[in-house]
Amino acid sequence: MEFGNPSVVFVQEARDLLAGMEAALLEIEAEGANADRINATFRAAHTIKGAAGLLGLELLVSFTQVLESVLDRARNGSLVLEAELAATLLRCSDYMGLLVNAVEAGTGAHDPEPAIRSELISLLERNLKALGQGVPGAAAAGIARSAGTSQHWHISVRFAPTILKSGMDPIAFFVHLRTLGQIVYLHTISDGLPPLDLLDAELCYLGFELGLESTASRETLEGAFALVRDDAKIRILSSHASPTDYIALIESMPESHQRLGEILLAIGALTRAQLDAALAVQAGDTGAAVKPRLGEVLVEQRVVPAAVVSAALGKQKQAEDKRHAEQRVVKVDAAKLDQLINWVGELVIASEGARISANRATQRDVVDAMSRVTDLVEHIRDRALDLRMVPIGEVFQRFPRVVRDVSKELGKQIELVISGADAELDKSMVDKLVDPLLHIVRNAIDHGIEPVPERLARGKPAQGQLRLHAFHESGCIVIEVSDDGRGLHGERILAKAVERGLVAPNAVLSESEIQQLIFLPGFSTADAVTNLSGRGVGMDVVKRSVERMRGEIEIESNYGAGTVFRIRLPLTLAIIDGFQVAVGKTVFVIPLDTVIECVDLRTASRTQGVLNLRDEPLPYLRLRDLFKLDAPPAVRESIVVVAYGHQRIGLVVDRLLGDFQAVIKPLGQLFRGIPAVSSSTILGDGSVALILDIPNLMARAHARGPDANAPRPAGEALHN
Amino acid sequence: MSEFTCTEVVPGMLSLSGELSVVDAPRIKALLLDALRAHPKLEIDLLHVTHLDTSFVQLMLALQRAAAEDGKTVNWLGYSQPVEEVLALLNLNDKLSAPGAVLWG
Repeated sequence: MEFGNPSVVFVQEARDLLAGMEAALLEIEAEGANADRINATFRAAHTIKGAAGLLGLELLVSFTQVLESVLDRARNGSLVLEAELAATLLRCSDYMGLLVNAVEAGTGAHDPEPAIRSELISLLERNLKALGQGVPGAAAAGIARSAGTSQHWHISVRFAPTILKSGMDPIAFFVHLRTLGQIVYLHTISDGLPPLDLLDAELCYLGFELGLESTASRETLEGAFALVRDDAKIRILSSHASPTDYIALIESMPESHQRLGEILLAIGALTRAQLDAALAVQAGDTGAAVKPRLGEVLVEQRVVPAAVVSAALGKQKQAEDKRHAEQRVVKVDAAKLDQLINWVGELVIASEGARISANRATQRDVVDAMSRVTDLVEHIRDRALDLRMVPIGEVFQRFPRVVRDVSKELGKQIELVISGADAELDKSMVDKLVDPLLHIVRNAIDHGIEPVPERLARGKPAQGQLRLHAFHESGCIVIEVSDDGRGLHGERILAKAVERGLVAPNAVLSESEIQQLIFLPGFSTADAVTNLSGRGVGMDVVKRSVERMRGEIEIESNYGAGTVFRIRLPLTLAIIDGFQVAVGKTVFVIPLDTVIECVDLRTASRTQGVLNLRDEPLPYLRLRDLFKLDAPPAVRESIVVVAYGHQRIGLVVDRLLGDFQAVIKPLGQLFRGIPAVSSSTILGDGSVALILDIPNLMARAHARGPDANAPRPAGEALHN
Repeated sequence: MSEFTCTEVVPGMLSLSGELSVVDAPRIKALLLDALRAHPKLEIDLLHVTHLDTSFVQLMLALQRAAAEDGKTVNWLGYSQPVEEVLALLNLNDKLSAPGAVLWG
């Protein structure tokens, strides 16, 4: 028996809503309030309150109620929402975030910050009292019924049978609806209830038709069912609904038309004459092969003109489409996705094996069928991987708040410019990216962008600029954090590095190499922060977390003009299109999106670790030497030209084996020590191939030039 | 939090108390079904129920229907306030006839 935890759903929903609320409040603070922004804030608060009420989260409900009453005053114009109040409301949303965290931790009944709570409540109450609007308790009681006249709603609900198992109780929804208005009738439909001995006591079989007198908006009513709307059948009709809307409702529900018609009649939704007439025709028509649907019946009986029915049904359809559009986003447990990806990975390997066997069997029809299957598997793989892709905007959206807070604290004026927020990357990386980015951004504001007087003295605008930018580039996503601050002081960095023994005193380093020094572990000390331009804090940690994602980070800085941090990450971590090459009998896989071209080695002249390819120098590595493979030299060698970022190198191999879908597997203990290998994969015939770490090879070929081809001891592992 | 308990006061007369929720619903169902099979007439006291959810309301409806089909009767002897509130909310007072006399205090 499995009982899901509704608070998991709640925590997720609430966090999304709080993020939306925060975004709207930041806009209000920066650019002033308008109806859209206030409504967005109000709706978020209101929906959180409703959902919290269902789960009995008293602390959250009572706090949000006060907040909501302030927002309601802002909404109806009796309170002006200026920047100062917006700042208070931001703190409220932070506090609510803490309460949500507490719910997640299972300590929802305990107030994490009672002092903050009472301070915020008194701040909010001051805004209410200034208007002579009484105490929040009173305001809160009336809040659900916002300004406007009460109207009649008919609500049909069929919960998912599993609702009880997921820890929610239909009764709680009606108790909540009662806070939004008056339930004028409620009919419990027990037609679906099986006989006692066959009944599964954990499932919900009951349906509900109810009428509500309420001033609440449709949105509010829909919000009341937010926690279950994906699985439940819910229809909400206003008093303006036509009979045809009711017909649509009848047809969408599981009970027979006749039975539900009777119920609606009892409720007073349809008149006896309309229903009788419709049902009479339906009953008399039993001989007909196809029973007319109730909508058609009503038309034939001229209860409603045909045009009205079709128009109304069309309208219903639109409403349906709209609802579907809203539901286009489905939340899926990340673990389920990972399982799916794993299985797709196995499928890819298996179908690769099957394809090889089919080719060996040389039966034409089998080969053809197999190639079709391979095609489909490829599509499935692509779609499955797509599922994990999310826009980087998910990460970026946190930064307006961070920049606001940090710059406020430091008394700096900073404009944040975000671009490329829709560039996508693997979900698993989004989470890991947040901390490194936070670190870089905080650093840029703290140490990069100068205080206002210093900026003015340098002839820069008083307001500093911080840019977050993302874009795709040959198989990776690039994320840039740039500022127009003071930049890095190369000489001072070098001096510091020499002093710390990180660089030999007589070393000759380029400006760019000097800048990369700040990523060295020993470099980051508190001492470095004050003496240098202060970029040193924890940059080695940032670099390590980026590298753990198989990415790389670089820095580009002009002293006095600003700094750019550039993070380059692979798009996905699970499956790649690979290109197979062989040296002797050893097979290597190169990520296909890094491969530019393949050239016969004889067409290029070479000198000392650099090839001359069509009059352009190209550093190269011999995989034979690099991995110390002692297979007899091949008669004809080939070069695979690979690119990563804006660098290119050539890899010399014996044979080219072609495209291959590589399911990335972690490296076994045996291969751990080899630096130029990122991971392994399983070939169709079951043997293991190593996937080359292109960024690493790049660095080797460029940094060391000729001796990059010197054998590495770790390559010993490859001898069989 | 009070656990669900069931006492057979005398044969054919059950007293359910505590929380009647989906967590114990399969157990409660089995109890009710056994009791119905064993006796021509069931009397059930709900005076000490502290909480109930939809799962128990369903069991009440199903038990009553099963009894009627077998020509047996189920009498609800007394409702606690939570039971009364839920039945009033769901408008089931007519179907699950309110107890005539309160026998247990």
